[in-house]
Formats: sequence, structure tokens, C-alpha cells
Amino acid sequence: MKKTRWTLGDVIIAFVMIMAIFITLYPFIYVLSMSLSEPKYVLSKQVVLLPKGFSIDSYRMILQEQTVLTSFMNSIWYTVVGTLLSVSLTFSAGYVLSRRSFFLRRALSFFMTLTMFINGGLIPLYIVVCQLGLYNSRWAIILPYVVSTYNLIICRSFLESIPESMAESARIDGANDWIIMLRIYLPLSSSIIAVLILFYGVGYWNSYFAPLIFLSDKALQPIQLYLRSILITSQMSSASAAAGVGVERALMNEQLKYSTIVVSCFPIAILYPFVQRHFVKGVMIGAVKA
Amino acid sequence: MAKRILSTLLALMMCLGTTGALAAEEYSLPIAEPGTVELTYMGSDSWCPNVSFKDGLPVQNAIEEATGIKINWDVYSSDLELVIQTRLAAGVNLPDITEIPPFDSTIGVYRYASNGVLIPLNDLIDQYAPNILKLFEKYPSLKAACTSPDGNIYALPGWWGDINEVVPDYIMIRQDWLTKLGLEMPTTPEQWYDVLCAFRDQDPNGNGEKDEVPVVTLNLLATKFFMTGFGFPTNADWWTEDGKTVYYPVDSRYKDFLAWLNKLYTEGLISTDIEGTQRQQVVAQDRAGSYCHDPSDWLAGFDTLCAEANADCDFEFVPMIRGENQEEPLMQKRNSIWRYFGVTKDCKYPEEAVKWIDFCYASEQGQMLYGYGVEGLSYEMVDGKPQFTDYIMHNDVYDPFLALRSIGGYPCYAINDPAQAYLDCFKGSKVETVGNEYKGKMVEPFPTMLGTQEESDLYSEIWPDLQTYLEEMFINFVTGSESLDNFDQYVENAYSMGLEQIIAMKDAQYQRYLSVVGQ
Amino acid sequence: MLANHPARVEKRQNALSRLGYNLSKDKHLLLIILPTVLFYLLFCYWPMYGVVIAFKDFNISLGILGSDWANPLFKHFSSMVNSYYFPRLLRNTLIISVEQLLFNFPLPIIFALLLNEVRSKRLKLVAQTCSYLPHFISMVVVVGIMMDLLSTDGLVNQLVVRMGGAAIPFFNEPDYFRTLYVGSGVWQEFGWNSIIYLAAIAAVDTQQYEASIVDGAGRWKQLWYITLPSIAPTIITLLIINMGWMLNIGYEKIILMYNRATYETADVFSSYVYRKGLLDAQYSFAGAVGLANSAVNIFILLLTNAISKRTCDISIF
Repeated sequence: MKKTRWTLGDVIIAFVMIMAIFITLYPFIYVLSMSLSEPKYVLSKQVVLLPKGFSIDSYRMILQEQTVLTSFMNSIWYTVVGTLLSVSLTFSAGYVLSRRSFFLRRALSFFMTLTMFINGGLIPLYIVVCQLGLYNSRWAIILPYVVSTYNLIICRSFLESIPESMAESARIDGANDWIIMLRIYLPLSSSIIAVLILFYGVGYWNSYFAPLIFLSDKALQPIQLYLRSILITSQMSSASAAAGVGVERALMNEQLKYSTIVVSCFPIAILYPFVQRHFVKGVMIGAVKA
Repeated sequence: MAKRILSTLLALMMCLGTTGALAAEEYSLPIAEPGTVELTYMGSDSWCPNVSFKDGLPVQNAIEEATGIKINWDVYSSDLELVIQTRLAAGVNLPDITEIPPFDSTIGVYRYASNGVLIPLNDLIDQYAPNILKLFEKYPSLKAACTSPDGNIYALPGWWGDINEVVPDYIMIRQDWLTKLGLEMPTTPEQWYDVLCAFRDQDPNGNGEKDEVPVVTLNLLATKFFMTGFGFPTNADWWTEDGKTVYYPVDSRYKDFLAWLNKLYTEGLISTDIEGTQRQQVVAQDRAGSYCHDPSDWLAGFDTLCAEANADCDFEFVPMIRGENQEEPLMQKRNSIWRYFGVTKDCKYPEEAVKWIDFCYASEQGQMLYGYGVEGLSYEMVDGKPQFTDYIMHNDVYDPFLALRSIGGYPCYAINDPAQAYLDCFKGSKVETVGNEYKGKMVEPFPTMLGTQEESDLYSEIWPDLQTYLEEMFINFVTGSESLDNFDQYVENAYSMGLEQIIAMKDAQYQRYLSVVGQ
Repeated sequence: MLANHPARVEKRQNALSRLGYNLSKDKHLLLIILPTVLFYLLFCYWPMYGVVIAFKDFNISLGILGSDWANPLFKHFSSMVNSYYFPRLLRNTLIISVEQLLFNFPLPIIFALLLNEVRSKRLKLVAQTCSYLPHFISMVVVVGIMMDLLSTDGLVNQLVVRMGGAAIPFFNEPDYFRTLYVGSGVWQEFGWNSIIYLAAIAAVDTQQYEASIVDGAGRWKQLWYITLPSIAPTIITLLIINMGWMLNIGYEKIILMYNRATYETADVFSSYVYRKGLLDAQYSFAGAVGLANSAVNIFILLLTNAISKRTCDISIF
């Protein structure tokens, strides 16, 4: 592509983007600044953009917690294993549903789409999980939510856009669907795989509902549960009807929630640039493919 | 001080012993051979942030050592109601002992009992729980609160009967601001109005800005504590007058009261923070003139919060507000009931479970552990009296009461909070002073009672909508988004939504209460 | 195997033989999708018996299936319709749903298209990266920050006061609730939702652009005649799904944001059910509201899907 000069349109677009960057970034700076300011300024909400005073006490407090470390590792486990499993299942099911000649294509699509709109509710799901013996096991967090129909539809739509002619020629050469899927479609799907990894990965990292309901063993709990208990209790403790809510601690507690958010976002913040790079690369490969 | 508890208990025991009212025999400790009995408790996790019963806290370890029963803590610090409702409704994988949702009403006890999830405890208590029986003797209203209309006891409530004697809960005012502006402590609504205007206009915090918030609220609904200025005999939602059960929001006095609140609100005297989420910040910024309302430990708490901005900050309780020529209104005691808990049908050791509850909830040893913690760690015996150690009184991280909670004291399961330890913990502070000052001067709250089937059905059918309506209209009238000209229409609507039936139900429950406590 | 036996095939009914033929033809496909189907059977369809709770008087010890049928059968549905607040709930649910669709759906597309047009690679990367971030923070935090910024002494009101206005208690004004609710949702998700469009845009054949440049097409024309048509299937697929989800407004954010002063515009079915159904353990009632909601959702979904199928031959099943 040849270089062209910036037009007015380019400038406007660039300006819109810079606005978008500011609007999306501000709360993060705010949270980070809150977590680094002195507690009293946090409580009196005097932090606007940059930290006021400086204190890393709340971080020191968090990192002393054994719970944080364990649940952090748990979260990583759930995210890695869950994402691997989810992406393989979603991609393979997406491949099957994108075959126009597959005789169950419509029926299965309907069968799966329906579950997006109707479900039996939490109580029967809980009973099923218990009956399968999954309660209080690591798999309880992954298996009941392993395939997201939404992601499946996205993946299927993507695969449908790949011309079937390539598959046909391979089939004539005697390749079966396993080979076609893995050798032909998989290499062409890096952009959708990147999207799936991102969607599922973030989904597992942020999931709190399944662990809340299906896990009571503290040793298995993910970081989000810890985060939630900090966020929600600090909201409630003041409303607690109990006498004697500690005040010194309340000062710190307000800040603790900001530092916990930072800590819980830390791996994403660290890994994000790398994932992002791969993601962009994946998108690039995707762009070349057709 | 524990001596007093002890002597009361002794006296009670002797007196009961002679009447032969108690059948249960004192059990020997440990209740079970260590390692033989494990029970699962489902409910709220420790109220001390970042501390969990799951980690094995000193007090809980001491209880386990004494009883020989290991408790598996299935406890939550957020979303408890959601988890617990799901677990109980699924009916599988039940815990042995559970808190009973929904926590804002008593209908859960009826629902889970009638569905067979909770087992009746009467016989077990009669046989195995001598201390609970003593507690019932001491507090007939406790027995009334846990006796179902069918005569069975399916659940026990967390009990604040003891501690609430010394924990008044009322409106606080900045005494230092009053002094600074040369104002008298207000008692009538008119005086209050003047004082609040002065707070608003005369810059009591001296920062040159008109940023004072004359009335900061727990939430806007809490301002109904001002009601006694308008002829209401007490600041309660429910009370009895001439033998009739009365509910405040359709009382004829209510309209004048709302008009007054509306005037305050529109003139900027009441915080616009309707849910009270900013209240601690406003106090910490030295901007709050008065605070409506919280229990007495916040008198000290708020001073501490504000100390950074203003070391002279001095919150004091105000005297009960009353109209001209009105009799002294009665201060309502905080409700003594906090969340019911019971034993489920899946419990393999109901006898041990009841004994364990008895030990924690009602025994002298259990009460010592609840209130003073573990000897050597949190208290020492000095001259036969427990005295808190520096670990509690001068903890690096926590203030004394929370320090107690951090080692498992004042737990949030099988609650029965001892008053004396609470006062000792706040020794020398104004929390202790007001505690002693108000002791015995507050009226009992309207009794909490369990409903019959009809009552429970009626309640769940009518109450949620009605409650929403009454609360919403209170807010709307006060903020002015609904004109008080529509008051009559409001009353009519409330009745058409079933208010009369709710009042009749409460009245029936009150009559049952009287018959149980035997008056 | 059946299909391999021509003599028997003839004897079978036509349908059965076709089934056999299909099973054999697609055996690998069936094997590939088997684990996913198992997942749907176990975790989506097995628990689905739970929907009958809406027609039962749920009793825990009898279980959902064993409980007595409600008498009359539609008792819980009619108790919902007869509720004092039904008109208000319906109105709020509809308005918020439509507003949400109106803003939440097109903005990510516009953002993705704009992003695609950004000249500076670095700016593009930074904007893209930043726009995803809000998705990662939890709702509790988002609402908390919003309340901070919009409180009467918050940053926004400091500006308002400086400009000579009176501080606005945003969270107490029924008029602002929907704007705040929908706006914060857009803020949180517009970047994240644009990912899928970016991927679709990236998949557009670059040769098409090159050819169009040769033909002298400007950027506007490229956008209009190449990019948009290429991502149209993605847009329509997502539109159909979004339509089907239109009425699903989760209670979580609502209950964090509303208060009794804003119930008038904020209370929707899900938050109402949360208060009445979940906290009071009225599962049958909650089930009835949920089922009615699903039925409407499915109706809208099928309708949109049918229209889309007829007009542009895109269908999600």
C-alpha cells in the first residue's frame, strides 16, 4: 500500500479514538491511584487522577494472605484447563455444524441454540452437578459451562465463511473429517481461535457464580470469589446489624477493595500485551487466508 | 463482671432446680469422642473482614477441643442468601446445621419446616440442652420467637437479648458543633429545624465552604426515627396502643411527620444520599452535623473516622425527640432476633448437634469463649475477673471489638452476644457510658413471631409489593416527587394492597406472643 | 453398516435407510460433535425439567417433579400479571431492552469500522487494547466508580457547580436511571463486542480492496461496498442473537444501581423476581416469570430469524 496524506476524516477518526482511549482508561487509573493513595484520602474520596499521598500497605496486607496465593493459582488452573477444553470442543462442534451436508446440522443447531433461551434454573442444575459427583471438585467449575452457545455460533459462522471447495478436494484425496478439520480448517482459523481463547479465558478468569454455588472447599476457590467477598462485604459490613464494626479496619477496607481489583487484574494486565500481539497476528493470518 | 452473669445463672439454676421445670441433664464434656463426630454448618462467614472460620480460629478451636465435635464450615461472606436458598431448595447435599433464609422475614422457618428440611428440636432440647432451657426461662420472648404455631421448635434465632440492653441505637449529633455555635441540644421538631439550619448556614466546620450536611442518614428510610416528634409514642414500626397493634405508615400522625421531613429535605437539611452509601465519607470529611441512626458503638466509630479531619469531633446521642406538651416517648430497643438457624433432616447426629448448639449458644463456658475469647490470648483472669489483654485492647490492626472477632469471638453463628464483655471491650469510652446510661430504659421491640401456614402464604403474597409501595412512597413524599395532597390516595392504595390483613396478622401473632410468655 | 448391504436397504423404509446412510456418511462428524452433544444433554437438557416448577406448588421434600400441580395451573403466571406493579415492570423492561439494543448493538460495529480506518498503526493498537479493558472489571466496581463520580460532591457535579448549576443527585432521579444504566453498559462492552467484528473485517479478502483502489474507489466507498457487505453475515447473526436476548436484563446491575427513589423507572422483571422470588424463596413464581420471559424471547428470536432468512438468507439454525 502506498502512503497517503492525512485527510480531515483521518484527523476526526484519530480524535474520536483518543477520546475513546481516555474514557476507557480513566477508571483504571482511578482504581490504581486509589489503591496507592493513603487510606484517609481514599475514604474521603479526594483522589481524582493521581495517587494522593502514597501507601502500599494494602498491597502488603493482601500479599500476606495465603488465601490470595492459593486462589490465584486456582484461577490460573481453571483458566488454562477450561479454555483448552472449551476451545477444542467449540471449534470441533463449530466445524461439524458448519458442514452443509451434515444431516443433523439444522436439528443440532436448533437443539443447541434453544438452550440460550430456556433453562431449567439453578436448582436442577445444582442437583445434577451433585448427582454427577462433581460438587466440590475442580471440574464443577468447568464442565457445566464448558461450551458457550454464543461462542459456538460465532465460530460456526466463521467456519462457514471458508469455502468448502478446499475440503472437497481433500476429501477426494481420501481425507476424512478429522484430517480436514485439523489440517485444513484449523490453520485457517487462527483469528477465530484467538477470539475464542480470549472470550473463554476471560470468562473463566472472571467466573464467580459456579465456584460460589458448586465449591465450598476453600482450597479450590478462585481469586474472583475472594475479590467478591472483599467487595461485597465492604458494602455490607456497614449495613450489618451487628454491633461493633471495626473502624480502623474500615479505613483500610475501603482501599483493600481497590488493591484487590488491581491484584486480580494483574495477570490479565501482564499477559494482555502478549495475547494481544498473538491476537493481532492471528487476525493478520486470517486476513491473508482467503 | 462475668461473676454477675455467673451468679445470675446460678440463682436461676437453683430456682429452676427447685421447681423441677427442667428435665434436661447437664451433659459431660466432651460431647463426643474427638474424631467421631463431624458436623457441617452452613451460614455466614466471620464478620471480621478477611478472616474465615475455615482457617480455624482460636475460639472455634477451643470450642472443638471442649466439645470434641469438628465443624466443617460451609460459610460465605458474600451472596450467602443465594447459595443457601439453592442448597436448601435442592434438598440434596444438605448441611447438618444451617441458617435459614430469607433473612428479612421469619417465613423461611415455616417454609423449610413444612417442607421437611428442618427437624423439630423440642424433644432434643428437653433432653439434651439444659442451658437452652435456662435461656428460655430467662427470656420468655426468645422462647416465643422460636415456637411455631404448632408448638414445635424448628429453629433458634441468633439472640441479642443480652447485648441490646446496653446498645442503644438512636440519632447522634455533633456536640462540638452545638457548643461552637452556642446552640442548645434540640428536642422538639422546631428546635431541630433551627439547629439544622444553623449547621447548614453557619459553617460549623470552619472551612469557609457551605458543605455541611446537617442530617446524614443510614438511608433515607432511617429518618423515620424522628417520628416521635409528631405524637408517636415510640420510634418503632410496630407497637401496641390501647391493646391494639399499630403500624406507623397509615397513622394519622404520619402525614404531619412527612410534611416536616419534606420541608427539611427540600431545604437541603437532609442528605440526598438515599441509600446512605456515602455516609462514612461525609463523616470522615467533617461535614456531618447529625447522623440518623446507628448503634452506640458508632459514637466512638464516627469520632475515629472524623479524627483525621477534626480531632475535636464529638458525636453524642440526642434525647428522644418529642413535640410540645408530649409525654416522654419511649426509645425502642434494637430487635433481639438475628437470623434463625436449625438442624436439617440429613443430620446424622441430631443429639450431638443440639448439644453443640447448647454449648455455644447458652452454656457459661460457651459465653466466656464468645465474649472474652481464649484465656492467655485475649484475656487473663485478674482477681477472678476476666481482663482483656493488650492483644485485644491495643491490637495493631483492629480496634478492640474487631480484634475479638478476628480470633473468633462474637461469632455470627449460634449468636448469643454477651453484654458485659462488650462493655469491657469499650472500657472508658463513651460507648460504655451510654451503654450503662440507657440500660433498662429502652422498650422491648415488637415481638418477632413465626407464622402459621395461612399467615406465611398471606405474607409472601401481600408483603413484598406492599413493602415496596410503603417504602417507595415514604421516599417520594419526603423528596417531594409525590405531593402530600395524594396522601389519602396513598392510604387507600395501601389498604387495597392488603395492609389490613398484614396488621391483623401481626396482631394475631402478638396475641400468640402474649399467650406464650404468659401475660 | 446397514447402508453397505444393498439387499437389506431395499427392504427398509425409505427414512430408515436414509438415516443409516447418513450415520455412515457422517460418522466422523458425529464422533467429533459427540462430546459437545453430551455436554448439552447433561448440563442443559437434563436440568430442563426444572421449567415445570412454574406450574407447580413447589415443595422441597417432594422435589420439582413430585410437587403438586398448581391449582389453577397458571396460578403463578396470573399472580404476576395481577401484581400491582405489573404495568410498571413491563414498561421498564421494554424501554430498557429497546434502549440497550439501540445503543449496545450498533456502537461496537461503528467502533470496529472506525478502528479499521485509523491511519496510525500505533494509535489503532492502543485504542483497541484500551477499549477492551472495561470488560474486565467487575460490575460492582463499575457501579461503585460511577457512583463516586456522579455523587453530589463528585467530579461531575463539581463541574456542574463550577459552571453555575446546582448539583444533581443523579442516582436519585428516575429520569437519569436508564441513561446511566445503558450508558455504563455501552462503556463497558463496546470495545469487547467489537472484537468479533474486527475479526470479521480482518477476514475480508485484501485483494478486493486492492482491486477497488485500482478502480478509484475512495475509503467511503470501500467501507460501504466491500467491508460492510463482507461482515454483514456476522452482523445479522449477532443481531438475531441479540434480539433473542433483548428482554434479558440481569438483576445484578439493576439492584446495585437502583434505590427506592428510582424504582419508578428502574424496577424490571428480573429485579422484581430477585426481591420477591429469590430472597423470599418463591421459586415457582420466579420460574413463571422466567418462563414467560423465555417464551417472549424465543418468539422474537424465531421471528427475527425467519425475517432474516427470507430477506438475506442468513439463519442461525
